[in-house]
Amino acid sequence: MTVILVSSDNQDFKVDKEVAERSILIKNMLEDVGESDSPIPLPNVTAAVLTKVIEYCEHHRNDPVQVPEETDDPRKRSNDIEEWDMKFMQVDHEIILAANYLDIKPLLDVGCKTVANIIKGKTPEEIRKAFNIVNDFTPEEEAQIKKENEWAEDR
Amino acid sequence: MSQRAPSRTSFTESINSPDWPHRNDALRKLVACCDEGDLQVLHRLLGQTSQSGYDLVSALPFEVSHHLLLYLDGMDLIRCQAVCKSWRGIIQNNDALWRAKVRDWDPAECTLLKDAMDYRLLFPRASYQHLPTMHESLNEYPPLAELDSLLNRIESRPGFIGWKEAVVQELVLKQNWKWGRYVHQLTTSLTMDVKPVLLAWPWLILVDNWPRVHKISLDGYRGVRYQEFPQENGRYYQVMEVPRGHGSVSCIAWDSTALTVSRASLLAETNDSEERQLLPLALGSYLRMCDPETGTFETLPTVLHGFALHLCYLRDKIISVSLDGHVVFFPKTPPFLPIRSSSVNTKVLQVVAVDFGSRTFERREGDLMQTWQGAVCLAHEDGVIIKDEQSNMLCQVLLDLGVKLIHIQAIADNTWPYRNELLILYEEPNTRQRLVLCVQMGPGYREEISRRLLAPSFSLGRGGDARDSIAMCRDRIGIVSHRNCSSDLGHYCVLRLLDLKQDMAVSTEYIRTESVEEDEAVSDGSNNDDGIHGYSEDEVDDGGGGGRKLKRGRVHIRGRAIRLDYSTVNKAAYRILALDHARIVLGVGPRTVKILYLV
Repeated sequence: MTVILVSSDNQDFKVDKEVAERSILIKNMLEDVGESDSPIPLPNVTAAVLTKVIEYCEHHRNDPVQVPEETDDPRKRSNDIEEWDMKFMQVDHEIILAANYLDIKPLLDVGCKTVANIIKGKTPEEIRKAFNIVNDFTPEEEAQIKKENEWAEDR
Repeated sequence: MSQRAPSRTSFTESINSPDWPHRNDALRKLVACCDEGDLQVLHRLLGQTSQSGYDLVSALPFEVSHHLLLYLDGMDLIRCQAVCKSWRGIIQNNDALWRAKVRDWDPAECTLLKDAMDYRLLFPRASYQHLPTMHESLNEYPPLAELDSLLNRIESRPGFIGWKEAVVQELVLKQNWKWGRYVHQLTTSLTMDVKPVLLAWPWLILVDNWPRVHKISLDGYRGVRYQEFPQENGRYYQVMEVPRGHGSVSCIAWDSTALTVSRASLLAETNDSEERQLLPLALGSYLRMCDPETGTFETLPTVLHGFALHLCYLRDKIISVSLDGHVVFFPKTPPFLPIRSSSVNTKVLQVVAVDFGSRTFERREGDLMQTWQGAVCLAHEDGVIIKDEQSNMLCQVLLDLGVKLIHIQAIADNTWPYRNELLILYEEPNTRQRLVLCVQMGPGYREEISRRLLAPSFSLGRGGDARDSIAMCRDRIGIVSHRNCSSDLGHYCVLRLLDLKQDMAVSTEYIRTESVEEDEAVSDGSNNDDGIHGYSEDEVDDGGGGGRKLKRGRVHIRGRAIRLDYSTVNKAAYRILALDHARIVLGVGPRTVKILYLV
């Protein structure tokens, strides 16, 4: 059975119901709508992002659905990303936002882990470069932060 | 459907106007008409231009960025705080984030949990039926519910510094160990020589030659106000005179399980109840029980087999070992009649008691069923003898021929990760190198499983000088070695701190050079110009200037490097007396004790 998803820029995507239901949001919507064939609008997701999301869900369609268990392994490890996922994931924040909106936990995890891996081990300046962030601290604030973190410097 | 963009022509005109206020106006109108989808598009477009600094973490809704930040470790979070204001805002005040970091730590290593002393209380019900093997423990995680309840308890205590501060303190401690720095030092000079020293946080117990027992509260003196403290009787410092005895005190013992036995229920309500502890000490061949609260001493009616060399507690018993190898077990309570006595027929160098908490081990010996919940390790020159609480031999660890044992340390965690190891510091006969052997003990020290050399890539220096002193605490070794120089530098001391887990060594030393003036040389090692303090006690609050000022946290200044100052006045030599996970106790000469706080 297929469903039709409509992105924010009015593009239609036909996907298998099973694939679409990887998104808990869509799954709930389908349950509410019932047997109707009407397309599902996703006003917060653009076509480009939706393409990628569908690609992810297709690839992982046979993964067991993860029951959200907070007590499972709270120790967050970010070194266990699948190879396919690593290639798939470019640092596109939109995918993370979309995964959050569509409630696809595995994709969200992968996205977060990827970003975390980028941040790890970098100095603040390097992080700014990686994410294109402007340093908005005043010089006094900078000096104060430096003083606060003096102990963290390695020699 | 929400209204989309305003009428095209007016918008295009306004946006193309050379006039900045007009463009500004058009932009504002545009944004006002946008719904969430449009804003997302705008965000994406903004992100694609190279000028604007639009960043991911600030754009994410709070719970998602929180989720992301959980993947970073403590040091990364500290660095992320310095990136920009919005990141700082997200991270700094996010208590749950910092608390999650504390949760991630190994409870056996975390200072906050160890110093809280609840650690032992927290896991009293470790199941004894399930004794995980070495392999299992690596993948298991400590029981979460119990860890959470401990964290809740710590949080509800008055004077709790906050989870972020706790994480920072822990990281500061790690950095200080790594680089050999301390943040605070405390010196005390006694009038007589100091012999036995016991470090059991928060107490430091010194016995001098009078004999007098000094009980010092290390926690009470931690603030920067104190550098030397007055030796008056008070809350932080108690002095008790031992009634005239024969000879000087050879050993003293501390009961670290007293809390679990009697106070478990009470501590849940009260916050700082002082534990009543009797301190047994040995004077020649007599045992005295000292009560620090009342300052009284009670002589035990029994006589030991000659001169008592070691004393320790094991669960509900006191064990004394005499010079000629007699091991006597006493109960903890009056009338202290000895339960058992046996002899190991060799000189015992060191005694370490291991308590397995609520775990019970059993073994069938013919018709008898042996059970034990603790073991005592007696180290002699050729190896270690391990006995259970009934003085039955459990096992023996023998070293190779010619190898000389120097020091032992037993690690037995009754909770995850269930480590059960005996660390033996020994000296090799040919090369005279000092190395550490790690012996994995089976459950309850019933058998050795394997031996492995720890950190073979470095040794502790060739040959021991008789003046060398060593202290061990879990995986850390502190050693003060004395080196002789052929030049006119005379001899100098080196303090080496070794971390076996991380295969890391830090050396701090002091060499007297020509430029040091005579009047600069400090006597007795007391250093009064301690200009750099550990951390500012007063929390500086931000004036609330509408977010323009940063909220200040405590400032943890990089500590001073540990240096041993050479004293020219009385050629005092350093020795290390005791060590624990965050403090080092050094002796300077026979009468002065210097305590270095690493956090």
